This record gives sequence, C-alpha cells and structure tokens, in this order.
Amino acid sequence: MLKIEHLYKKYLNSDRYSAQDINFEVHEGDLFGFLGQNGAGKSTTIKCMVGIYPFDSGDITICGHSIKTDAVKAKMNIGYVPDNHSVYEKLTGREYVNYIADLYGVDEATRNAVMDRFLKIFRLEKAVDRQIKGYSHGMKQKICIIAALIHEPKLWVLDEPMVGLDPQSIFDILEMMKEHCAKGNTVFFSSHNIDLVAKICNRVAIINNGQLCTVLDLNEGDNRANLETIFRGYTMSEDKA
Amino acid sequence: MNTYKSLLRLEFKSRYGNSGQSIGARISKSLPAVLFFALIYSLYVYGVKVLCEMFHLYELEYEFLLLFIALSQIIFIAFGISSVVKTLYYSGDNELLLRFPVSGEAVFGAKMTFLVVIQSIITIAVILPTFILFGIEIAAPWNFYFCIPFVILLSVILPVGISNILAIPFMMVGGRVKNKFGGNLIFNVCLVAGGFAVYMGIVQSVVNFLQDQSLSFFSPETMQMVSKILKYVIPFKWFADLMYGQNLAVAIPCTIVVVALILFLAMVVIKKLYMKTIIRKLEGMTSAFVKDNSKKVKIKTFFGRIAEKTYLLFGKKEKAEKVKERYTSLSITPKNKKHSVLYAVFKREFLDIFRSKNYSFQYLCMAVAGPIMVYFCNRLCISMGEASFAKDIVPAICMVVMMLFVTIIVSFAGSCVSKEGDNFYLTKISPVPPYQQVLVKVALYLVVAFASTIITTIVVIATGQIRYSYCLVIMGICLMLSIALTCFAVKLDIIKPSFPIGGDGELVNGNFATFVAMAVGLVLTIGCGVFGIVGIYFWGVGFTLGMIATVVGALMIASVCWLLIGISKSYEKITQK
Repeated sequence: MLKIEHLYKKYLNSDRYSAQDINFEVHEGDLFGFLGQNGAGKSTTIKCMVGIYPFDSGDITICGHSIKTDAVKAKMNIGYVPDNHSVYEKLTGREYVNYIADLYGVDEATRNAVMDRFLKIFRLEKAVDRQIKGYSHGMKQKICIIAALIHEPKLWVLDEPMVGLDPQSIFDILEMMKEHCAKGNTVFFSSHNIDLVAKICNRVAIINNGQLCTVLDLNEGDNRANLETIFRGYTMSEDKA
Repeated sequence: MNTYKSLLRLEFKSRYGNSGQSIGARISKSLPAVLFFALIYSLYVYGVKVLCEMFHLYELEYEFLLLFIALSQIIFIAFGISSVVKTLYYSGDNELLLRFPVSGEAVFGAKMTFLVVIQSIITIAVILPTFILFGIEIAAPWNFYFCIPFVILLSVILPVGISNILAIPFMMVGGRVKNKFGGNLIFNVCLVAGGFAVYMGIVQSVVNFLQDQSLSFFSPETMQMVSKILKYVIPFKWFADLMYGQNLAVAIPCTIVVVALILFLAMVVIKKLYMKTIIRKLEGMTSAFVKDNSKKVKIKTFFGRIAEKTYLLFGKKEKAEKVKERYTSLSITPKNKKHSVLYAVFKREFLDIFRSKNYSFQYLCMAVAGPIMVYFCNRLCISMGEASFAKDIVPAICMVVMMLFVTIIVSFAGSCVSKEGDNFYLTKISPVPPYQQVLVKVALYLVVAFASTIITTIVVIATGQIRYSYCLVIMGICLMLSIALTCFAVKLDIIKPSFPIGGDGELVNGNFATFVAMAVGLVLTIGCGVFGIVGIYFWGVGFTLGMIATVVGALMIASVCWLLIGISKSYEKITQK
C-alpha cells in the first residue's frame, strides 16, 4: 500500500537532513502509528508522502504509483488531514467538500452518502452550509476529515489528528479509523500520544532526529504493553548522546 | 500616565515600527514612497493653485473657499471613520490589551491621541497650502491668515468628533452588508467610476482653463444652483464666513455651539459604547454567512404557482398537479453536484476573489470600472492631443490608456500562488496536474481582462473616439498584452511566491510578482506610447500600430513559452517552509 525507500529530505536553508534514509512499508488493513518527538521528522515525512514537499532522493510509492513519477495516480489514493486544519475559509463547508470531491471525480451518489453519514457523526448538519471562517478549530478539523474521506481513499493519512478535538470527536475518529482499516484500507497517522497509538494501532514506526529508529508490530510479544519504554529508549538515548 | 505613554508608544511602533532595520535600509526602503508622495503632493499644490486662479478669474472666491472646506471636511470625516474603526474597534491588539492590567481609559486615550496626531498631520498638509495660495491669489487681509490656525484646529476636532459618533453605526451597517458580495462590488464600481468621472471632469475643466482662459466653465445656471446649495452647507459655511470675515455675529457662536455639541455627543457615545463594542466585536469576530437556496426556492415557487393556476384555468388538472408537486418539493438546502475538475478549480478561484473585499476591489472592480475610466481618459487625452499635437496621434494615446488599464487589471495575477497562503498544500496534494491548475488560474485572469478590454473597445467604437479599424488593432494589442503580462506575472509568482496571509485569509503585503508585473507593464505601455507617437509622425498610424502589435505578439509568445516550459517542476519546488 505505502512503501518508503531511502527517503532523504533536506530543507533549503538547512545543513542537516530532516528525513534521512527512511525505509518502511505499510500494508493493506494496517492502522499504522508514526511516533516521534517535536521536530523528529514526522510531518516532513508525511508531507513528502502526500506530495507537498519534493525530496532529495529515494522514492515513495502509494498503491504501486510513485509520488515522484506518477504523482496524479498516487494522489488519487490518498486522503490527507493536515496538522494545521487549513481550508478555504471563504467557502462553506459543503462547497469545500464538493470542491475536493470534484478534484477526485467523486460521483453524486457517493458524495451524498459519505457527506450525510459523516455530517451526522460529527454533528455538522447545520454548520455545513455556513462559511468555514465561522467554524471553530474542531469544526475545521472535522470538515478536513470529511473532505479527506469523500473519495474513500485507500490510504488515509492524518497528521496529529486529535489536537484540539473534544473527547466524543476523538472517539468518533478512532472508530472511523478502525472501520476504514476493516474495509481493507490503510490508516497512517502521526501522534505524540503513545497511549493512544498503543491502544488502537497494529503497527508503529518511531522516528527521531530525522532517522527511522524502528518499525514494530504491536501484536508481537510485549510491544504493545512496552511501547512507552521502547519509545523512551530510542528518544532518551539520542537525547543523552 | 506611564501606562498611557507606553500604550501610545506601542501604537506608533506597531504602525510605523522599524522592525530592527538600520537607518540606511529604512531610508532606501522608504525613498521611492517618499519621492512618489512628493510628486503627488506637488501635483496637488499645483492643481490647487490653478483652481484658485480659475475661481478668482470668475469672481467665485467665497464659493471656492466654501466648496473646499466642505469637500475637505467630508473627506476628513470619511477618512476619520475608517481610522476610528480600524484603530479603536478592529485593532488586533484589543484582545491582548484586555488581558493585561490596563484601564479602558488608558487604551482609549492612547489610541485617540494617535488618531488626533495623524488627523492633524493630514489636515495641515491638505488645508494649509490651499489657504495660503488662496490668500495670496485674492490678496487677503491679515485677519484671513489669523483665522487659518483656528480653522485647522476645528478641521481636526470636528471630523474626529463626528467620526467617533458615526463609527459604530457604520460598523453595524458594514457588518450587515459585508457578505452581500455582488452588492458590494456594484457599489464599489459605482463609487470608483463615479469618483473617477468627477475627477476627470475637474481635470478636463482645468485643462480647458489652461488652454484658453476666456472659456467659461461655469454657466450662469450652474452658478445659481451651486450658490443655492452652498447656503445650506452648515457648519462648513460658518468656517468660510469666519475666514472671509462675514456674518461673524452668527458664524462665531454657531461654530462654538456645534463643535461643543459634537464633542459632547462623541464623549457620550465613547463612554457608553466603546468597551461594549470592543467586547461584542471580540465575541463575534467572524461574520460568516449561511448559504441556502431560499431565494431560488421563492422565485421558483412564485413562477410555479403562476403556472399551476394557468393550467387550472385551462382545465389541465394533471399538469397543474405535476407543477405543484415540483415546486412544493424544492429544498432550501444546497445540493451536492458533480462538476469537472477544471470547472471546480475555476469556480473555487473565482469565489476566493469574489468573496474577498480587497481582491474583488483590486481585480473585478477595476476590470468593470476600466471601460468607464478609459472613456474619460480618452476624452481628456483626445482633447489635449487635438489641441497640442496632430490629430493623428490620438490612436496612440488611446492605446496607451487602454494598455495602462490592462496592466492594472492583470498585474493582480502576480498573487495567484501567494494568495493561497496556508491552503497552498491543497493544490499540492490534489490529483490535478500542476499545469492544469496554473492554466485555470491564467484563464480566470484572462477571462476578466478580455471582457474588460472588449467592452472598452465597444465603448470607444460606439462613442466614435477613434476609427473602427484602429480600435480593433488596439484591442488586439491589449489582448496580447494581457496574455503576456498574465503569463509573466503567474510564472514570477510560481518562481518566487510569498505567503504573507493575514487573519482574514488575504495577502497583507503587496508581493514581488505583482509589483514587477506592474512595473514591466508600465514600462511597456510608456515604450509603446512613445514609439506610437513618434512612429505615427514618421510612418503613419497603420504601420506603427502593426509594428507595436508585432512586438507585443512576440512578447506574448515568449511569455507563454516561459510559463509553460518546466511549469510542473517549478510548481513542485514551491514549499511554504
């Protein structure tokens, strides 16, 4: 589903790599957590993955399509929820979701079904025809999620999705993630919350200082129970060094 | 007192702060603006001098004084309302200041002092040279000059007081019409076109006066009407009376009473409403609209009922029922409709401009007002051209004016990437090839520029300002120029975008590409204009316009190639970090 090979990314005015020789694979049905401290390289990797940032070398393939050489087909399979909830605020919620649906060529029946369902779950039925600039932080996040799922993507990528959401919405999103994976799709999300990742993910990658430390199967051994210890083991040792 | 001083210093620093730059850097940065201001100010002073001479020649000195005072006060009040709203109520630091232990009085005092200082500078800059030039022109007695400081003081106090009274109602009205985008656009077009027509009328009369001083611009009927209206322009009439030394028994007490009354009212408004309004503003910062189909449904229902009754009248019950069924099932909730990718991107781009006060003014308003402006400019230029040069150069002058407006309209394309701001990531993640996204943007800018140019041409042909065939060639030149400049501006913005987006999702600074596109457009316009005038003299109109069309055409091809070659790579390189 997602394959990252030897990814190197350095920002224009930086002398160090923000992502250095990242290699891992995410499979169909995976609920994949991406853990790391602030500035570890999580968002950089994600932004390379979804096509926002160009990268220096390596390759990223989504459903067999390279984001470098076959970007349009690769992007057709991604639904992305950014960490800053940026949306076109002059549009209404419905206009925004329809705009995204048009970009992905979603037919009317599918968009009606997906929108009706998620608007109900997120309790946005009344707000959807209001201009987005009047939305709260959480409402913007929710409309981003609906837009990301409108074309029922094979790979759903979320960058710090739970920040600023109320407990009920967090619960709803977690349920949606599980459901998305149960259909044979993949969810890839970054987080600082180790407990949350340990609770719902089946696989986890830990990144520190732009380098991939490990990829764990949480169903193996005591990985799930010891995730915090393992994470601290990688990040603390780096900090001490 | 210390808090007040700190807040006042903060207000000045936040507006005119040096942002850590050296004195040399500050001077070099502000030098072009200072020079530009000096040029405009010199033109203003010269214009005032000519107007003084003109009114003096027609023995309309008192009318000039009264008209000037009334117009300047109205402009000061309009400027004052805008400043009061921005500084007192819409200021970004209000929320910040409310968190700190500073009193509302100190905040208000500091902000009001700032406003009074700015208003005083503007008032002195506008009024003082006019009064002095007027005094010299009419050889005014000493008491005229003695009154100048008092009238300047009144011209500061009165607009500030009235602005404070009117600011809150204006904000309320502004809040109500903020989301009436079409209405706002029409209002702005009328305001710009109307203002421009009046301005060009004044310039035309000044030019006529400069060319032939024996021409009478003011007909007896016009003068009678002006004098009649001016009698009722109070309190400004009393200011003019003070300066002119007439009706002092009425003018002095009435001025004192009016100023005192306005200040008292302003104090009452501020005391009662200042803090309340700030808090209300902070609680409801955004004024988002709700989109529904209620208007469409009302219209369709209205026509549906008419159709139903018509069918019933003719005894066609089945059809009447069908119509009724159709209009009763209409929903005010908008539907989710599928559109093509290109339509979706085009519509989103358009709404982004249309629903933005600044963008729609800069772009759509200028495009709509363009034909009107070109007509008046042409009229003036033609009258000047006919009088001072050969009649043949009029097409060149018309071409320059049209090219100038094309430049103004399409230079906006230089912000096509930058204005995406934080949303730029959406264009990167969407499964639409970059060249398609860019071409849609180019198409949007060109549609409006083309429409504006074609309408302008129709206006010029219809009014018979220039020969039909020359108009078509000039239109071709302008269309090619709009393509060339649009592609150039878009490519520049792709190469060097900046994303200085403010809280309302709009560019806070003019960006590099817009500035360069505007500069290149102006240079081209001037170049073509000079070549046109010289070329027509030596080779005739047809050949010269043909030469210009060839050059602009070549530039268009070069610009299109520059945009298209490597477009995807350039687009992929853009990052916001």
